[in-house]
Amino acid sequence: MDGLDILKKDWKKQEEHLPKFRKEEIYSMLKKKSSSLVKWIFIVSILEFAFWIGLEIFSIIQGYNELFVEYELELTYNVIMIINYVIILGFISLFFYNYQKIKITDNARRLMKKILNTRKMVKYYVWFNIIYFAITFMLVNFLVIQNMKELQEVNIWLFMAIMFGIMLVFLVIIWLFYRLLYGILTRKLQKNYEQLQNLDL
Amino acid sequence: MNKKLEKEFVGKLETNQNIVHKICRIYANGEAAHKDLFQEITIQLWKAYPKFRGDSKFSTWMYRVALNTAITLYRKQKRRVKTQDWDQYSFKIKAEEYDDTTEQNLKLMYQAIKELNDIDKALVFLYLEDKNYTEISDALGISEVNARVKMNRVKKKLKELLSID
Repeated sequence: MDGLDILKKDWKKQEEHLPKFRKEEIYSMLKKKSSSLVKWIFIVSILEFAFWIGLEIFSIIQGYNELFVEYELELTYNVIMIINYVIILGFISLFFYNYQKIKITDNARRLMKKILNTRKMVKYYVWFNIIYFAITFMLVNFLVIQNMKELQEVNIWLFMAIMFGIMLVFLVIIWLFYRLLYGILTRKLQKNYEQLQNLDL
Repeated sequence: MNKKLEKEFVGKLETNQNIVHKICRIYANGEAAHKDLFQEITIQLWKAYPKFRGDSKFSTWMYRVALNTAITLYRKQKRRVKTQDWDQYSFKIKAEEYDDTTEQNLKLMYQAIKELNDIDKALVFLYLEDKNYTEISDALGISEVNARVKMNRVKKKLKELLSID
């Protein structure tokens, strides 16, 4: 008889020693707020969607688009914007689609997979936005330098290199921030999922 | 209608609450943590209850939701578990149950289980609850063969943990 079997015997005996909550206590628990991981992932994801959409609105108000109008690139700008909106809407729909598929009555592995997939959608969304912003940033800079007389004398490539450097620093900061956020939210989940996933441990 | 459902649910949970307490016993350290996890499981059970169709037994359905909450959804409260909580908790068990050498070994076993990772704890829990490998593989979403292999590893791991102590 190994240790676990001795424990099994005791496990059955312990029933009478277990705490017991009264009905009123259970009622009051129903009123409490959940601290579930899925709830947090949902809230953080919605904030991320809101953040990037907010940034978009901000750049429109700031008149990024006027630059394009000025340089007769309106059509290009509109096409880029439409593609951008379609992609963002696609991401948000996929996120909600994955989110509503999460069911606590699934088996543990499937449940974890669905949660990770939901979160992954947000990760891709964020990457898409970062890349999109990086490209527009460089493009706008390029246009500005090309079209501003005062800047003509400045070495255009040096200027672009500096801009590129600044952009890289920003990207690294954002990347680190996401590593942290993603880590806090899903480290435990990822670890447990791998435990179940890894068939030849 | 909602009140009626609530009453029905609370009644069922009250009768079957042992299942949840046993999961808390494996996953939580100390009374405060125990209550915290119990509460989260209760909330999750209640959220899922409208979809409980009664085509499975309430207790079977509870196992699923409770275990999933403990392994996947539950986020430990930021506050550290006070050592005081832990001492009281283990003291209570000690006073009631542990008085000779076998019982001392049991205490060590419970402590060793606390050192295991979440999935291994689930395996131990299901084993102690007398679930067969089909049920275990069904609950965790792994194959039966894999469940067996994993179980053997957990047993070995427990043995190692005990010999270190």
